[in-house]
Amino acid sequence: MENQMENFANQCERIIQEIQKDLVGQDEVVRDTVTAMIAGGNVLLEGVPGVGKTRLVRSLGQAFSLPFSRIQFTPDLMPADVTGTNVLETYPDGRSAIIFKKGPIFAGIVLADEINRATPKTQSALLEAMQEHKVTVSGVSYTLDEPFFVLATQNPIEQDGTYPLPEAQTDRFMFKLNVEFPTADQLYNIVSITQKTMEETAEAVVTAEDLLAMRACAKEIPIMEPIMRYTMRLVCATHPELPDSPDCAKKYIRFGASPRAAQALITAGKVRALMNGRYNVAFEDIESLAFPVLRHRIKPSYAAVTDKLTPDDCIRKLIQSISQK
Amino acid sequence: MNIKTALKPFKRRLNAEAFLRATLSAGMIAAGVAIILGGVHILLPWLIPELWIFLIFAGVFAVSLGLFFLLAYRPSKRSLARRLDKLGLSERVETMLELEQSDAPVAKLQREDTVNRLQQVSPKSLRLRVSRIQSILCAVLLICAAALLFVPEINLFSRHDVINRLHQLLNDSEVEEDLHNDLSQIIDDLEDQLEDAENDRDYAEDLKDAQASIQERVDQEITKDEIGAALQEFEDLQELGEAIEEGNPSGVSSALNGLQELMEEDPAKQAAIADQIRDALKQSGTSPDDLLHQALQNMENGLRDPAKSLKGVLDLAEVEINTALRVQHAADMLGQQMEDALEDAKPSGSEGESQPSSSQEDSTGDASGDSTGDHTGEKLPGDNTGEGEDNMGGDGSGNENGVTDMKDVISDPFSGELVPYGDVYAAYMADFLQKAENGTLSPEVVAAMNAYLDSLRK
Repeated sequence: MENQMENFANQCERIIQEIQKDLVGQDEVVRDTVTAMIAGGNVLLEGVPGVGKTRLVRSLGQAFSLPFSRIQFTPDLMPADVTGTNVLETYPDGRSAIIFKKGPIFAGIVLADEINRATPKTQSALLEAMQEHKVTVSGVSYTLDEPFFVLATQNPIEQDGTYPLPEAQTDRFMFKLNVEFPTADQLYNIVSITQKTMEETAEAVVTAEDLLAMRACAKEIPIMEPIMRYTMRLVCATHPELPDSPDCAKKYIRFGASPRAAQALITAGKVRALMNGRYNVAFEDIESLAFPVLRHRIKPSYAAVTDKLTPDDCIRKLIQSISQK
Repeated sequence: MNIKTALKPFKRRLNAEAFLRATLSAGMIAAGVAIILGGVHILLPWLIPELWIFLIFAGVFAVSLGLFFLLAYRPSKRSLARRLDKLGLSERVETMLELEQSDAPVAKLQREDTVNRLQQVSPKSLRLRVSRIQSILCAVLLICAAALLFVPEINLFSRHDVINRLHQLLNDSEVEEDLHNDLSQIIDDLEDQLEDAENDRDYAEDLKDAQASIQERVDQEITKDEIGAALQEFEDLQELGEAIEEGNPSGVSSALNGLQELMEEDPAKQAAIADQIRDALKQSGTSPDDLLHQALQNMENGLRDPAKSLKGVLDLAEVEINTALRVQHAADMLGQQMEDALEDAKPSGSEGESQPSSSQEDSTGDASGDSTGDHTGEKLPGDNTGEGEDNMGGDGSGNENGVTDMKDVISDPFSGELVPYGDVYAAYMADFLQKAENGTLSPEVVAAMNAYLDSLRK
């Protein structure tokens, strides 16, 4: 365990370096995604088409040596298309049997592309698997192998004909990451790479067992009570109805984050601390992770819309108004 | 390297910071106190005459405060950890302190990591949090406090102070109403003059004039010297005259007893002595309104009245003479105190300045000394001892009505021994009560004695 802790940061750096072979820029997105994966959380990626969301997930799968599957969500996608279904199999000897055909969800990393295009019913099938790591078909439960991750994507532009995920379900994603459009220099590098090959070149760095071991290591990292308290105050501050919430919350936030946000902050905070070569969680870990953890969990009010404040702006104001003591 | 060793240089630096802050805080407060005391001393020197005592107190106060602030500012482990973590250590030190007692592998790793990081941080990167404004303010206050040592007394309110002081002396005294009113007028006139004084010289002149006026007016009240001297011209009244001139009540009593014996032996002497008293009073030139003059006048009339007993006349005379002497003594004391107050109020360096005279210097005198406040024998009971320095042999505290306190000790004029005033008073009271019961005193004498003895108890 001690050796693993000491090697943790190096391992993470190697993973990130491998992914960056295939993905130019997006350093923060890559780091956050790796953090979420080690912490055991799912990630919602939001970005315009072509910024590398799918490529990122594929590279992750290769770096972590995890079986990868992609599900393209469309309005006509059925739950069975996700989870799998029972089919009648006829054998050469004439016997027939009903067997369960596993769906694409039975993978280590599942890319749920454009999740908001599928119907709520199909979305819920995926979300059940995300939450419980098992699927139930015809009353029979099938456990998904660990580790299991879902990286879902959303297109922020085309909202016509989509089924936006309700807050209760976006809450199941540990992080929501905004994949920004690359800069001109980054675009240059992207095109340069992809002119040579479109295939992901990331190599396996860790195995599934290593990933589980890393997760166990991260859980051991201590966190001081003041930091715990600060985290709880931060999450509570997102609730305008609470008496101690700051004025900016009362003005700019309509609904606050759930307790899952606090759990996500602490769990991811420990991973982030180890990634930074530290054996303790710091305030800076919580503050830097507050954005991916909270931006999809808080609902800005009309005042925020009027003042053109994004969820990240609201989170920034909250951090400034909360004292660390 | 262990935790303690790793934190030592940082702790030392924060201790130095605490010491500096404590010194600044204590220095500021002590300098402020010293400035206030110094300012009061300069403006109202009579309030704080001995500034050095208060400066020593301010110094001790500063040291005590410094220790207090040192305890208050001294860094705790946690505050040290917080300060160190702000140097980019990301809560390593604070976490390390929390896990100090833990043997878990991650705790050990965390400690090692923290200690390694601490070694890379220079203690000098821990900035001393000493307020620049506070430092400047402390320096300014200390310089101001030191500078006050060289500022002469301004005595800002002395003009009003001397007037208030004179009024206070007058109000605390037990002088006759006429004298009280006249002295009050002198004080009011002085106040008006001081308002118009343009400089210290005028001011001193006004005070000097007031001194002379007070002395002149008080001298009018002091007739014991003239009467005493006049009585001494007559052989039979010599002892009485001496006692009156000295203001000695036991001498008066002794003299009257002698006269009683003389007149009892030779009744014809009674008329002669009455004549002598008459002639002495005439010779003294004192006013018939004067209390002492009246007492002797009454004695003369009583001696000539065959209806009155000799003893009764002489007992009454003793009471009246002693009462008059006490009143004159009170007036004399008041005059002295007022003159002293005026002397003290004179500006330093003014013309005609003399050392402030204490009541004792003027009042204790010798037998041939001046007529005012001359006491060689027992002090008259009930005298206002004021400063307390003229109560011979006693602690002379006196009460606010000027009567010697029962607990005071006085010198027995006959034996010279120190005896409690209460005992003397009790002896007089016992003697009086016995005589009153025996019926040897007339009702008038009893009433007079009662009033006299009551006045001594106030």
